[in-house]
Amino acid sequence: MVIELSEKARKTLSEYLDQVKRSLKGVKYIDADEIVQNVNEHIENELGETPEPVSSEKLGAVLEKLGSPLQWVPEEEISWWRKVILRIYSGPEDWRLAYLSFGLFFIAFLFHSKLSFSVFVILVIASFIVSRAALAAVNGRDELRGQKWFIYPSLIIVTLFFVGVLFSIPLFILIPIAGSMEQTTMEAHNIRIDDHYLLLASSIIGMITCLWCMLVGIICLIFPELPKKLLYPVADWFRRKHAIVLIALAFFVFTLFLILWIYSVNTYVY
Amino acid sequence: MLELCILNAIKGSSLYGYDIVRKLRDIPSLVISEGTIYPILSRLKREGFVQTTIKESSEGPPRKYYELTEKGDQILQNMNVYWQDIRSGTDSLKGE
Repeated sequence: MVIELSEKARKTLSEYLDQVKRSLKGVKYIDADEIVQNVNEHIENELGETPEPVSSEKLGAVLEKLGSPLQWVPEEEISWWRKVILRIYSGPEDWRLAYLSFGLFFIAFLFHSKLSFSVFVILVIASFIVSRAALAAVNGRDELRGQKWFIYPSLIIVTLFFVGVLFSIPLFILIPIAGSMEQTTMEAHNIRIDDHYLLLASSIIGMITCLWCMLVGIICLIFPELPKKLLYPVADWFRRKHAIVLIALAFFVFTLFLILWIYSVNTYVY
Repeated sequence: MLELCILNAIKGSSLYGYDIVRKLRDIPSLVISEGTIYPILSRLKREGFVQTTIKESSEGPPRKYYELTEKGDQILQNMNVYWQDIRSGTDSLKGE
């Protein structure tokens, strides 16, 4: 391209030429590369007098007159299966990704009983990644219109799982430790393991988990954009006040576990 | 119909692709997507009705010019006769 295009116009042209190539690919009597060259020359001629860099609006007007490449080949000359492929390939990237995301999610849940757990997880994660790609392809989720509902299932499930794992990290570490300590303590001191030990261990694990949640809350309070970015677009609503609520809630539960711990220590029977 | 217009546009001359589009654009009742013309030119070339030659241009990179082949000229004559028949037939229906 001899003329200089704006960033947005360059992207628009690139997408249009990709659409031209896809629409004409496989049509026997047409040389797609030749058409792309013709279209480039056409645009250069149309916009030769336009002040540079050429805006996407000016380019858009030329592309509109050129028309959709899908209409350049008579329908009867395209086989039905190719029409289906073209429809998918030449549609806007955002909705293609949205449908793909939902397709992967749907397959994962439809066949979850027949698939191994790892395949199920891979499909859900793949659906999540495609959903994020669909969001990245548009300026905002509202641009996806109705298709946005296709990307939400995997986004919500993976986000909830991620949040659950994040808050449960201390549990994953402390519960096995408590289990092993139970055995060690029993053997070393020849003591009776009863509900008191469980109460004591649970209260300690609970307190540490609450402290962890408070730490997460403090980080979110200092960097309120962090959860929004990590959990986009599910946590768009997140504000500092939510971090304060999280800290307060964690502190409240921490107090309950503290009371439980004091009770356990005072009533422990050796 | 569009093939007929394109072949007539380049009859007796060699035209740059964009010039063909401009010529057809000047026909007021011919409402088409301008891009449609390029695949038709490609097909006409594949079928041997037109040929292309690359010529240097003072306005930029070398340009591809389209011109009729003998085969193309022949088919155009047939198409024009056929079109004339249709026109005469239509006119006669109108009573002209």
